Amino acid sequence: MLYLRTRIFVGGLKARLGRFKRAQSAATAVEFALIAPLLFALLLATTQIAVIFIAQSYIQTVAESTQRSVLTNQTTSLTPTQFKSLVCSSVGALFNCNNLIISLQVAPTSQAGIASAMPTFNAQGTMTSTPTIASIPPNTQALLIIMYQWPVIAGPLGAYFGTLGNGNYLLTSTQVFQTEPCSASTGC
Amino acid sequence: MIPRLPPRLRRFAHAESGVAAVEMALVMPVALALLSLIVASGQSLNYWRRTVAAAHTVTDLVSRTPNTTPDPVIVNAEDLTQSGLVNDLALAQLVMYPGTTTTLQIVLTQIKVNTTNNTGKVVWSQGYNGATPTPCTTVMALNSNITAAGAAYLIVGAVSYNFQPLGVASNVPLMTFSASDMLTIRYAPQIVITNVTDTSKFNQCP
Repeated sequence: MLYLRTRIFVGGLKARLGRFKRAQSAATAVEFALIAPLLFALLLATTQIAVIFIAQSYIQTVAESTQRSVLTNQTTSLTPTQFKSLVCSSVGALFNCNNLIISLQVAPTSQAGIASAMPTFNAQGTMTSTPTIASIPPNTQALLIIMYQWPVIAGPLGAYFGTLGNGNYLLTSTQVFQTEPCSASTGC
Repeated sequence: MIPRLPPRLRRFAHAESGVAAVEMALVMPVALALLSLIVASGQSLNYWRRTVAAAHTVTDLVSRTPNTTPDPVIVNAEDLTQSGLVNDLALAQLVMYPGTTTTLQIVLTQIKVNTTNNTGKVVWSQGYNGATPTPCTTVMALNSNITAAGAAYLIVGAVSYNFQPLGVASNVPLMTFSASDMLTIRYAPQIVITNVTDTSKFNQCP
């Protein structure tokens, strides 16, 4: 009984496969299934590049306006918390202000100092250095780094833009500048 | 008269099966090239912008050197040590972060403006990170509006950056971005470089 059933099944399967081979219906669907990963990769890549570019441009603008405040010695008397909220006030709805990484320090004057001044991230994408916000006196070289971990979606075919271990894209803007000799309160 | 195709080729020409696969094979290279192009151009735009920012930063940093030590010999000039100058150039490399900061080459030059023919003559030039300093014989053509502004000396910063974009499916060639900026000196008419210890990448012109 079981043998007979198997014979019928195998016979039916062969016929089915033969029909499937000759079938012309739904060829478009099969074709689309082949093209789809590529198409989605293209779409996703285009959209993400556009969004990343807008966000990068935005963080650059924020860094430049912050740099101007420091350059003109308007932030000398601010505490780190006050400084951070000043930066946040110029950040729009694009970023979550709590995740904004801000580092402001007197520019290092040695090659070793420069190497250790930059932020570091581990394999998991967690920042391993501690960003500090220092008060910059007039007539001093300063280093300002503003960063944001921008989440990206991994697309098919390796179209993937994450630069950190956790898959996020690191948006950064680094500003190096010399503060003005005049203090904001007393002038020159 | 068009010759008749052999039967085998005639069958192939009329065959309908495998259309999807053939179509796919035709479209695939173009689509992959397009994908690579989108990714590479996005990245390149980002780093080109940073290169321009680096050129501005380095020129701005040196031109803003504070006039803390006036030159003892040359009247109306401020001193900057060579190590101070090199540190300014090293700081400007940080603008490229998170890209590789160590591949940015910089040439920083001070020129003396000649208002009669709108040119600039090299006074000193420092190359950084393997870059060759501007030769003393170089005469830079200047925009007449720059010379009309009245500065006697100018700082010229030129940077170049090699960048390899990510090729998703095809090889994208190495790109070289260059940018330069020219600024007047902020706190003195000219800058004199002192304590020159490394002359291999430094030109002091007569």
